[in-house]
Amino acid sequence: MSAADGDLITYRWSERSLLGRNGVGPVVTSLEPDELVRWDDRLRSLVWAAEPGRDRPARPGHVYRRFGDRAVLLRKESVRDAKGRVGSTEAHVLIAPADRLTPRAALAICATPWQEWLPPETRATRPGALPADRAQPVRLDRLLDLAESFETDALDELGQVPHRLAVRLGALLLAEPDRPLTVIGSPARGEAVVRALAQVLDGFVAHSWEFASLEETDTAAELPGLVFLDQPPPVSLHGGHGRLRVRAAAAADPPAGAAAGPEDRRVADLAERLFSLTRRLGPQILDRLRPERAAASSAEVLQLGERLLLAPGVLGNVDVLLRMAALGDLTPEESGYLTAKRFLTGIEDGLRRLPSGELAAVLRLWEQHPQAVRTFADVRTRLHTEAVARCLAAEPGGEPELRAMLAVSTPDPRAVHEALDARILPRLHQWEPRHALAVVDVLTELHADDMPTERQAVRLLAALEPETLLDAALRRVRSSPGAVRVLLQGLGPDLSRRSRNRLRAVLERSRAVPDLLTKLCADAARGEGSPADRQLLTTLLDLVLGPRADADRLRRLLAACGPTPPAALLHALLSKVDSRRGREVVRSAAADLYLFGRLSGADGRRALTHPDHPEEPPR
Amino acid sequence: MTVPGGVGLTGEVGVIDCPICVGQLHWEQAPLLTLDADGTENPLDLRTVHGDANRRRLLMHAYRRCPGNDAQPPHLLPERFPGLGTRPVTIGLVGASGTGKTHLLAAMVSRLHDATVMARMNLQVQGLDLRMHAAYLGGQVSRFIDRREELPATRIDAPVEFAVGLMVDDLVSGRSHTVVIFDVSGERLQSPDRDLAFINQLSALLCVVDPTAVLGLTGPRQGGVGGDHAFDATMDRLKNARCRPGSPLVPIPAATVVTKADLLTRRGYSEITRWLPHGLHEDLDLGTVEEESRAVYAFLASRNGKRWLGPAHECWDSTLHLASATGTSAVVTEEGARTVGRFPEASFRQRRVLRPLLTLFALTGVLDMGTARNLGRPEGAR
Repeated sequence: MSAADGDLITYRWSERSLLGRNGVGPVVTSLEPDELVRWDDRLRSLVWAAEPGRDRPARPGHVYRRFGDRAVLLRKESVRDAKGRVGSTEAHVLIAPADRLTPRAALAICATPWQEWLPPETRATRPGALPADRAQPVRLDRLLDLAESFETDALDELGQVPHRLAVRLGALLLAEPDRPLTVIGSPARGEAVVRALAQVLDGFVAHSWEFASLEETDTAAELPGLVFLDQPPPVSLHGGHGRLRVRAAAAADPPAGAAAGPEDRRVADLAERLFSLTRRLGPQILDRLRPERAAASSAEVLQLGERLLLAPGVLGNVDVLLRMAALGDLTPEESGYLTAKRFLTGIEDGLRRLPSGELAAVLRLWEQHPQAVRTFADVRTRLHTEAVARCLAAEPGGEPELRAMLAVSTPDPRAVHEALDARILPRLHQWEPRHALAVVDVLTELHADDMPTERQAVRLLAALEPETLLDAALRRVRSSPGAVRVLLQGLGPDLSRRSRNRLRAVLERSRAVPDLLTKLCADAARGEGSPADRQLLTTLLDLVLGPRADADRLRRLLAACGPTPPAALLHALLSKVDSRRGREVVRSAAADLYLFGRLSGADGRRALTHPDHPEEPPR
Repeated sequence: MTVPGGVGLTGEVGVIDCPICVGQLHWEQAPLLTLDADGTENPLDLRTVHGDANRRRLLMHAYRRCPGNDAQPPHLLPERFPGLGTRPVTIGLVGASGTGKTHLLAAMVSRLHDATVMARMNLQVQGLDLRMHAAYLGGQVSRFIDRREELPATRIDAPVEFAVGLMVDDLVSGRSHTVVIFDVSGERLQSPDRDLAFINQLSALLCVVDPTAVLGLTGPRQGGVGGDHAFDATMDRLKNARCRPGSPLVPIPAATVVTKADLLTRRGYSEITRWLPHGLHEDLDLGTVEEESRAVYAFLASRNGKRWLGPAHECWDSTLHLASATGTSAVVTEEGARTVGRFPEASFRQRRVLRPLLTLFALTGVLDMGTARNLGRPEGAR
C-alpha cells in the first residue's frame, strides 16, 4: 500500500471466509494474504455491529483505532446473514497511514455515504453469484476531499450534544486522561460527542481520540478509549476492564459534586469553563489557550488548570479576555478581573507574553469597540504601554502592524511615558546609541513626539554626540518635523566650544538650515516654544551666523529663507544682531515681508507681531 | 459446613481451576465482592456480617475476582461456584457459526426450568448466579420461547465466559453439582485465539450439527462434506491439552446433536425415523440413548456426514442425538425500527432438546442413574 492509498477489508458472514473459516470473517480485501491474517488478528473482535434497539432505528457504528503508524476506521452495520439470520454483521475496514487517517479525518469520513466510495467488489453479491474477493485500494486524497465536503453536516450535529454531557465527559477525560470511558445512552451520536470533546479538549489533554461510536458491550479487549453504548452492557462476569462507565442521563447531575475532592472540583471547573467558552465564542478561541504540550496526566491537567484559571471563574489568558471585553462578552467574574487593580500586574505579564500580531489584533478590536472597553481604562493604558514599548524597542522598520495600529489609535500619553520610563530608558545601554534616533522616529510616527518630557528626551539621547543629534534633526526637518524638537532637546543647554565647532560644521554642510530655523520659529510663533526652545533658537543662530553675525551671513540666511522668512526669525535676529549693517539687513527683510504681505493680501502686520506678545509689533 | 444446593459457609474450598481462564485460584484468598446495579464492584467483608442467614443471603450475590492472565482479563466467579462439595461440571457448546447452538441452549434451559420435566428426572435446577441467570432467562429464553423471536448470532466480541450457570441437585443421590455451559461464537471456536483456554478444561462437549451444512441432507445441492471447522479446532485443542501421547481418546464425554431435525422429517430417512421430533413430550428415557446414537451415527456416516463424527470418534464417551429447537424457520418482519425474525406460532416447538443435556449430566455424574453407567461407550469398553 502506498501512502496515497487506503486498504480495505470487508467482513460479512460466509460459509468460507478468505481465512477458510465459516461465519463472519473477511470476504473481500485489497491486502495480501499474510497482511490479511495480521490485520484480522487485530480487528475481528471489533467488527460486530450493535443490534438495533427496540426503539432505535438501525444505524451504523464506527470504530477508529491506531496500530503503530497505521490507523483503521471501521463502519459496521447489523444485517441479516446469508442464512437470513438477523443480528449478524457487515463491516468495512479502511486501513491507512495514521498521519492521514487522523481522528478528524476519520470523523469526517464517518459522515460520508460509504457506498459511494467503496469499490463495487465490497458489496454483498446475490445468492448464488460468485463473489469477488479482491478489491482495489482506495485513493485517500479523493476520499479526504469527499469527506471534507460532508464536514459541514457533521459540524451541524455538534449542537445535539448536550452541554452538560460534554462538560461531564470532558471533566472525566481531564481527570484521568488514560482511563477508558464508556458512555451509555448518549442522546447524540457517538461521532458527534467525540467531535465535540476533541474540538474543545484536543491539545489540552493528551488523548488519542480513538473511539467506537456504537457498541453493544465494552468488554472486547481491542476496543478504543471512548466507547458508546445505546443500552447498558449485557450482564457479564467481566467488568469494563477498568473502564469508567457513565450514563448520559446521569450527566445532568452536578459535575463532581460537593462530595468530590478539591482536585476534582478544579478539574470540573476547568472543563466547565473550556466548554462554556467554546459555546460563547466558538472553538477558535481555544487556539489561544492551548499549551505547547498537552497534559498527559491528571497532575499535569491540574497544573494546566492553574495556569488557565486566572481567578475563580475566570478562564483564559489576557488575549482572550481582552478580545471578549471588546466584544462586550464578559461574565461578571471576567469583568471584575479586568477592573480590579490587584490583577493589573498579571494583565501586564500576559500582555508581555502576547505575540505582536495578537497584540495588534487586540488593539484593533479595542479601537473598533471603544464603548465596550471604556470601562477598562487602566487595561487600555497597559495595552498601549505594551504596544508602544515594543515599537520603541524594535529595530528600524520593525513591528509594522503595531505601529500602524498605534498611529491610528493615538496612544494614551501615560502609556508613552510609562513605556519610555519602564521599558526603554532602562535598556538604553543594551542598544547601539543610534537606536535612540529610531525611538524618536517611532515616537514621531505615533504622533507622540510631544509626549516625552524634556527629562526623558535628554536621557534618551544622552549617549549621542550633539552633532549627531543636529544632523539627525536637519535630516528630519522636512520629512519628520515632529522629531526635530525632541532631538534638539537632546543637545542640552550648555555646549562646549568643541561641540559648537562640530555643530557649526554640520550646519555648514546642510541645506536644511533655513528649514530648521523656520520650523523652530514657527513653533515659537504658535506659542509652543518654551524659553528653552527660544534659547535653542538663539544658540543655533549663534552657530549659523557666527559670534559676530556679519551682514553677509545674514543676507545668505535670509535669502535661503525665501521671500517670507518667519517673523519670529526676524525677531530673533534683531535681538541677536548688534551691528548696524546687520540690523539694516534684518529690518529690510522685515519691510519686504510686510510689503509682500500687503501686496499679496496676507496680513503682514500680524506676521510681524512679537511671537511672545502678539499685540506688540517688532521694533 | 457445606449447605446442599447452597453455599459453603465454613468449608475450605482451597485452590480451584478457574473455568474461564483455567488459572489456579486460591478461593479464600481471592477478593470477595458484590456488584451494584451499575456493575460497580464493592468489597464484601463477611466479618462485619452477623448470623449465618445474613451471610448466606449476601453470599448468594457475591463473587470472587480471578485476576485472569495475559490472554484473559480479570473476571468474576460466583461465590457459589465451587461450594457444593462436588467438582463443577463445565460443558462447551461446539459448532460452526449458524448451526443453532444458541437456540438449542435456550431451549434446553427453558426445559430445565419446567418443574414437571425436572420432577420426572428427580432433579432440581436453579441458577448459579442469580443476576446472570435472571438476565439469561429474561433475555435469551423469554425472547426465544415466549416471544418466538429469533436470537441474534452470538457475537465474536462477547466476553469469554459461561452463558449459563446452574446448580443441579440430584434428589436421588442427594448430590449437588455446579454446571456451567459455554456458548462461544462459531467464528471464535475456529480461531486460534488464546483466550479460549476454557476449552482445555471442559468436562463435556455438546457438539451441534446443522443438517443443512451436510451435503444433500436437507436439499439436493445444499451443504458440503468438509465437516465442521469448529469441531476440528476444538478437538485439536483438547487433544493437545488432555491426551497423553499415544492416547487416541479425549477423556471427556461428548454429545453430538443433529439439530434442526424438523428439516429431516418426510425425507425418507428410515434409519432415524424413530428419533425424529414428534409427540408432545420430551423423550426423557435415557435408556434408549444408545439406540439413538447408533442410528444417528449410521445416518451421518452414510449420508455425507462422516466429517462431523470427529467428536464421536475421539471422545471417551459419546452419544448422538436428533433435536429441534424451533420446529420451523423464522419469518423476517419489520417491527417498528428493527428487523425481527419471528417463528410462526403454529409450528414453533422444541423437541428432544433436553435429552442430550441430560445425557451429559449422566455422563459427568450430575445425574446418578443406573443406566448412565454404560452410556456412550462402545460395547467392548463397558
